[in-house]
Amino acid sequence: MRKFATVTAVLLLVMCLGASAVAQDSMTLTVMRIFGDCVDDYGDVTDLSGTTSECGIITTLTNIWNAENPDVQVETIVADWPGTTQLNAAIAAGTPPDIAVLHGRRIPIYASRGALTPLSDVMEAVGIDASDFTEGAADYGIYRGEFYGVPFDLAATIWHINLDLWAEAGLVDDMGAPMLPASPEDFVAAAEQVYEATGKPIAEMAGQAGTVRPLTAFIFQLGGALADDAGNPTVDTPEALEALNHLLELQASAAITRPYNEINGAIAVENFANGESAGLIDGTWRINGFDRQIAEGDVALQNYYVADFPQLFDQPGTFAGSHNWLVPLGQNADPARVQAAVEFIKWLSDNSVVWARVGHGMTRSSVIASEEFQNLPHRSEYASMSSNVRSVPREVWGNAFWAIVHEEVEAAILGIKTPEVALADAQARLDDFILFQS
Amino acid sequence: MEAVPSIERLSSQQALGQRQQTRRNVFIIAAMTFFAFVWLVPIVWTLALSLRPEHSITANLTLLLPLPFTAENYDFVFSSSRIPRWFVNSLIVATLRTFFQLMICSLAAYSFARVKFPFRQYVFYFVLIGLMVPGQATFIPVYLLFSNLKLLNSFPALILPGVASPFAVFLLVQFFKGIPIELEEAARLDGASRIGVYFRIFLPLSTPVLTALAIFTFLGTWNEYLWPLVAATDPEIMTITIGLNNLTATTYEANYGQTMAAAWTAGLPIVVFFFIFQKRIISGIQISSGIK
Amino acid sequence: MSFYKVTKCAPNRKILSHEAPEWLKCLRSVNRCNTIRLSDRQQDMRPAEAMAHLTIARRKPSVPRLTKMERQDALVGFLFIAPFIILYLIFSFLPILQGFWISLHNWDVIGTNIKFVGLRNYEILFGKDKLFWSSLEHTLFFAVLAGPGLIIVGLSLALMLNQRVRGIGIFRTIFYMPNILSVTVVGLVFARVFAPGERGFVNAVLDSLGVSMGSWFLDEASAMPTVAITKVWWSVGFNMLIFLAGLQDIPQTLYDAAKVDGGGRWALFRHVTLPGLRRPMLFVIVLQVIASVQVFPLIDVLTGGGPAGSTRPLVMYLFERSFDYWQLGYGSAIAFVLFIFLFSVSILQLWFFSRGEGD
Repeated sequence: MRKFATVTAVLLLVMCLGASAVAQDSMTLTVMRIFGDCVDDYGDVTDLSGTTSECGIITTLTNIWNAENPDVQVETIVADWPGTTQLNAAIAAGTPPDIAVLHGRRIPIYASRGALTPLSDVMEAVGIDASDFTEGAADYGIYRGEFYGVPFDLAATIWHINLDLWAEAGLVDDMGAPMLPASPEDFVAAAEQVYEATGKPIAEMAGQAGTVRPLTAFIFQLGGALADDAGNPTVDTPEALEALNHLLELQASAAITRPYNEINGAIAVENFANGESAGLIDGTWRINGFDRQIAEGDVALQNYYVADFPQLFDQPGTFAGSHNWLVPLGQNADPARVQAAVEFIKWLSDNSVVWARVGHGMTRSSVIASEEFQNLPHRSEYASMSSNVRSVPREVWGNAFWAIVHEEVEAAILGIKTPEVALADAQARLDDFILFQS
Repeated sequence: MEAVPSIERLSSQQALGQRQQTRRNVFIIAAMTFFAFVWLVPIVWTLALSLRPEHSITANLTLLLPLPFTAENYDFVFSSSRIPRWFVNSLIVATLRTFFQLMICSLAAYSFARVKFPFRQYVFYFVLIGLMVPGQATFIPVYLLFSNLKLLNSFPALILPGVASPFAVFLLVQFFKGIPIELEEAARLDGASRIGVYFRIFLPLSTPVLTALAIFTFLGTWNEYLWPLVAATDPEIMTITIGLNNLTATTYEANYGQTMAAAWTAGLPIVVFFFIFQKRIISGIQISSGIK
Repeated sequence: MSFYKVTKCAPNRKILSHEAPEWLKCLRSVNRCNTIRLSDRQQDMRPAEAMAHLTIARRKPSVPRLTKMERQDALVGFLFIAPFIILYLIFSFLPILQGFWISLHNWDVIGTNIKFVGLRNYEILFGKDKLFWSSLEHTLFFAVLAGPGLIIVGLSLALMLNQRVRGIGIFRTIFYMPNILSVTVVGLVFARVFAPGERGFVNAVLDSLGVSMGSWFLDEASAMPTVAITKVWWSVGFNMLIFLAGLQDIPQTLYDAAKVDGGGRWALFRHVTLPGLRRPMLFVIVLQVIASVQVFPLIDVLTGGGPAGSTRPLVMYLFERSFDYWQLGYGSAIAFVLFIFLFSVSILQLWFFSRGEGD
């Protein structure tokens, strides 16, 4: 009898709690994100000062939100990079998270299948000003004129420079800035000058930072288009061939970079930190890492400068990716839920300047104009990057483009294929991809 | 007079044999030591990396000594309050899967190897099908199955898919077929049932291969990646491999020191486990003496 | 043809009447009152050889079985495999069937855009997919490179470590140890062991010896062999264990008998060890072929299929199609073709190995 009473009491208690939970109208949002798990170091931290790692920043931001919004709690699921394996499985099973983070080039295929919730109206409703996004940056979240993702950052390919080695070659001006080349001829001349003075390459490129990223940037700079008017991929164009031939020349020059098959991404980074190269072509995400190593005083690199990706042809162009926050709840999602999700995304976006500490470029003019942003290290040095970035076309093949072009350009660099054949093969593979879309 | 020289000859032959034996052993040990050294270099290196500060790794990667020495990478790994939890999760998942797999698969393997039932060969081939389709091709259907059962983020989801292993059945059938049929017939004539034969003859006689299989399954489960990655996203239920991976994963940097420290943290218990159990593989009961 | 009667049934000690050959008396595995039949040819054979034939001769049951027992056996047989088969059906076979069903469709990985296309995926696959064929080629190349190494090195290690010498357990642990590493760690470590340029481990050694350095994973010619070397280092320990377990099953008496017969070391290996390892060998070979053809995670972490796709194996291609391109239907078609290929090869191997066997 007593047992029965206890059970009843417990049941009643549970029901009351449940009822009170409903009464409070509280909500738990799940966020599936990459960037790693650092709950042990940042589990209760709500103070952002001094935090410069991606994981630390995003965890702290989430903590602050949870502290300030008791009725909309955010729960994090850490996914493995690039975040698609778990997300795809969850969507396929009909149990998607409320919020996820994806690279901009991956958005169109999800959006085209109706897996993402259209955000333009909700963004307006919660007060995300779409016109605040810089022109290049807004693209990353858009598919067919509609926002499906809120661009959080610009992870661009840039030029890390060792000023001491440039100074040895007399390539640093009175202001302490490197004299950046503005044409292919300038670039080669500067490289040879540095190489003669120091014996070190000026713009080491390894892995994708030596293939698809610079190729795409050069195609942009040459005014080439990666898609035709119908949105189909065009990589076998005169501009692409010129860009590829130019890239092959760079890859073949010891003054520009060590041979492609003698370095990999990790080694190129170490070479730069160890003062073994005068410059490195790699992402914005390395900036804070190099600064930290310099501050700790344990690398040969001392005077570190960050420049935009070499701008050598008529039009400005830099290749960048972008992390986007999105709502993978499909097209008929519960509006209240979507609104709560976008409010959290807005809050992240409003505080994105903290994220810029990693080195990433920012997507909102107001953030870029802010004093806090301008005071971050190196910002003035690669300010032009924000306006120069271009997204790969906002088409379903955006992500396939990346892998296919990398592979074919690699074949051309290693002499396995001629540049013409490499581009033709890339085009054929992308055409084949399109075939499957119908 | 004839006998003495012949005895002498005999003993000198024996001595020669022994000396040859000793020389052979010395040779084998020397060769083994050399190969073992080469084999160990990458492992020693991972250990050294886990004991060096990251900046020293960046400067000189190929150093095999932990100089300058630091325990900071292990501090980092052990600062996680959830490591014991993940460790226990892995232990539960790996142990239960290994246990159930050994029981269920050895029983099936005994049946395939020795019990005559209709369509036996075809059923066996049917089972082998499971080996031929790569897991990458089936993990979405399996995921959907567990999702429909509302069993994601649970131990059954982590344990069950690997239990009925065609690999294990195939391995055990090969070994069971090698056990002399006389042993079984004798026991059967003594009135032992099939299940008795299985428990009292096949399981004891197969200690070496069962141990090898247990080690293999335990390790495979411990190191499994793709399935637990999607099946268990809740840190409460996560295995240590996935948990540590999330801890050390930053998007762009390799973090050698921390990754290697994590690898050693997750792997050392396995080395110990193996060292203890490998004896069973070699000192397995000899066939004839195993039967009383 | 001669018959010998085992007259005493104590374990370990059998006395065989009627002038049995000396070696037959040592036959410790015969431990019940039984009649052993030897052909005249076997009597003249060396012990080990005769033993091999003896197995076959003994296959035929000496006591005719009862139909009741057969019926009972059928029931017991099904009962014993039932738990396995049920789990197998649910967690392996149904997903495979589902995979085949998916392969007849255009099917996005997230379950959208599903359209029945019949055998079109297969038509494309066989008709014009150059990457499928090149991936198949890479896969077979890997199998040819790694397979023999894994078997020969595994067997040699097992033979050398199958000694009762103090401290041998340390060696066994050392050679097995790489096997405990996860593929991620192997990837990180060997990306550095075989890194190009002076910062690579092997290159540093080669350089100090005055040998020219290699590009290893970044050279089309050397990438796959380097992957194969890594594979042998990583997983030969398991084959070693299987062979060690197999060696345990060869009765010492066979060696003793063969030695009495004056067999040399090579003869022992050729006539006792190898036949004794027939079944583990079958297992290892069949398994190795399957595992090699399904190689993917290791190559993924070492080369990512590069350089320029020259090490992309079939399963990586399948994965790319299914998960990067979202073409789960097409990826499943690749998986099914792979399955048909492996199944035929494996059945052929099983048939080849089981020739001359009773069942």
